[in-house]
Amino acid sequence: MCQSQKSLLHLSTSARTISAFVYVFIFMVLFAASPLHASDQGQIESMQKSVIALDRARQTAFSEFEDTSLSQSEIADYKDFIVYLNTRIVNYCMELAEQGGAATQEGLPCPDTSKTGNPENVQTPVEETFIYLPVFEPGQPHTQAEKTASMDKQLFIALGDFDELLLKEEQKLSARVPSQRESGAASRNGPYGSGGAGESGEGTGERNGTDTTSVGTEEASSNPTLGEQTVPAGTTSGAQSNVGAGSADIDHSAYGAPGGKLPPPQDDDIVARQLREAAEKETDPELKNKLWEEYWKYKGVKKEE
Amino acid sequence: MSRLVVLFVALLILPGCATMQSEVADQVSPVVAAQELDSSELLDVAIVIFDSEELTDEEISELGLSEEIRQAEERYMPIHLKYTMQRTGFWGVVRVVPAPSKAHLQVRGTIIHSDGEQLTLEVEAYDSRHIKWFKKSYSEELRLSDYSGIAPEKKDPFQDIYNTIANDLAEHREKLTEEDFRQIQQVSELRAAHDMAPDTFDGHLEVDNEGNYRIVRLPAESDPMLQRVRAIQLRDDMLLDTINSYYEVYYNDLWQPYSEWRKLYNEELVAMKEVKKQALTRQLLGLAAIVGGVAMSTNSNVSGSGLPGLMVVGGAAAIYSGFQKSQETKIHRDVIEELSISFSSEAEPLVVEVVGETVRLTGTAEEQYRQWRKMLREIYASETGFPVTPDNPGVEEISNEPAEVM
Repeated sequence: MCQSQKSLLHLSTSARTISAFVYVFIFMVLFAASPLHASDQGQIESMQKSVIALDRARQTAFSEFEDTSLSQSEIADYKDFIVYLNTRIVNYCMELAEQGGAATQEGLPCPDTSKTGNPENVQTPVEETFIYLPVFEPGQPHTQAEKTASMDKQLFIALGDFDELLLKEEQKLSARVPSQRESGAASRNGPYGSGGAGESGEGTGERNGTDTTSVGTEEASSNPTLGEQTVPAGTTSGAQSNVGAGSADIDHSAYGAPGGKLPPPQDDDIVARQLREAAEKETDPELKNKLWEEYWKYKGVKKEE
Repeated sequence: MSRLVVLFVALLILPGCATMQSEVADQVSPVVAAQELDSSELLDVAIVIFDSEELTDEEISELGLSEEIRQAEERYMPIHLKYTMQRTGFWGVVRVVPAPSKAHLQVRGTIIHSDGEQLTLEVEAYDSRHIKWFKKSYSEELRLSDYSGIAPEKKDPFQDIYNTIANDLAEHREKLTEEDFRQIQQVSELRAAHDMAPDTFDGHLEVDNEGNYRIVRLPAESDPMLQRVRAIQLRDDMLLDTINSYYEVYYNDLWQPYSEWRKLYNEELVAMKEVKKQALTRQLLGLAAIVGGVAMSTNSNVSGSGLPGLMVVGGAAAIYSGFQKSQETKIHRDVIEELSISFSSEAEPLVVEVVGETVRLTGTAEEQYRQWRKMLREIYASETGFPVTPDNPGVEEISNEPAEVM
């Protein structure tokens, strides 16, 4: 190789090195300027997965909620659970919007940023129409409709805060006497009790003048009694009935369970039970993990590393 | 003579008539719905924490009752009534509430008398239209056997009273027409809506001459303000559910000490009454013997025998024995007092706790509601273009108290 060729090769190598440095520099500058650092990106993806997992649990709850054979108390249980899921989803969506902008909500069941909260666009039970908050881009609203929608947003954020407060109260109550509360609820489905009113007739007549007749006794004798038939309005949710089934032998340490074991189902209130059931039903491992995370968050237990 | 017989019979019957009005029957079976009812026929019930009549001196000193026990009962009894009503299947959500509300049906009770042996309650019920269903007294006196088989939520020793109240409510409910059900539900919602957004919902209801609410017009189902109010109302219901959870914890905590106190109290009360009766009988017999002995001793025919003297001595012994029995009643009374003091000290912190939690929650909620009312008013102004009115809505405040109508 002649000297000129060597010089050319050297120059060419230097130019490549310089351009490589320039590219690396530009990439580093761009990367540093981006709001989405790797750690942030991971957090955003994690939140997105959580939203998807919670939404799947919500869809399941909706479909079960539409079952017309549910009792009043079961409906109330589902409402509580759906309100909880809505609140969690909205919270994640708001956090996503704060951290990564509207783009991070793409494809997620987050409140629609292009609409102004028209409830007709939202698929929810009647009572919860407004739980999907109308979200606005930053900036001052101009039209009357925008102003109203903005106020609506404020109102429903306040309602969401109140939901959280009530959920904390429920957690506090669950922690206080879980067994008593659950056993109380379960006992309502049982028979009237072996020691019912019938036993009170064993007396020997020492009561003077108190066995006299009063109001409403004819109706009582001609109508079915609790001792003879099951009361139609049961209170234990169907969603609760098979909760925890089949989970006893599974090692739950991967899902953050302290000691790898789940707490007894009777220690769960209705939201915890339904979250547990949703996690057990979920087949996608990632989403399953997310639902277990939600369960432990709700139970106030930090995930074991 | 015949007049005397009539008077005697009348005297025997009259007191009986007086008690029959409120005495409940024995072994009252609760009436339950034969099948699950449609939601349009289910009324939500609010049972207000009971009131009580002031304790008399006799109740405090003789029966060992206390304000602490009464306060515990003011909460315990409505909660047990709630459990009884829930099992009948006639009602929507049954809640115990700390203050009168705008529920479909409201039940209020006053404890007239309560100890381990006897319970007398006065109960009134009225719906959201302020139409009174009834106001009745219920009374029951227990036997010790009524304490067998008692169980939390299911069977109280005074279960006959709770079943009778539930049956009376169910009986009245059966008389309602479809239109009644609809009106009660609509009026309840409109009253709640008026409370939260008086500007928007002013003029939807009116109160007639009899003090009953009447619907003037209904908002459209799609009315955004109605939707907002419903969203708030749902939170109010959830708040009451949370408060009820606290009440249920309280009930469960109270159940055992209260049941034990009532049973032991009843036993002591029965024993004390028996001893009192024996003491009185012995004292009367003793007095009669002494009087007889003295009379005989003055009679010349028997004055020589020792019988009058024996009668006087025997009579004195009987009176002394009677006084001893009186001492026994004092022992029973002391035991009753001790039991009551012990139970009061157990019940008091439970009452303090549940009252504290209720006040804290309702206080927090009241502040929230105040803010939400303000927000709704601003939204109303924004939607209609009317200026925002001051905090005072300037419309008639509608009381939750029952109207005095029949």
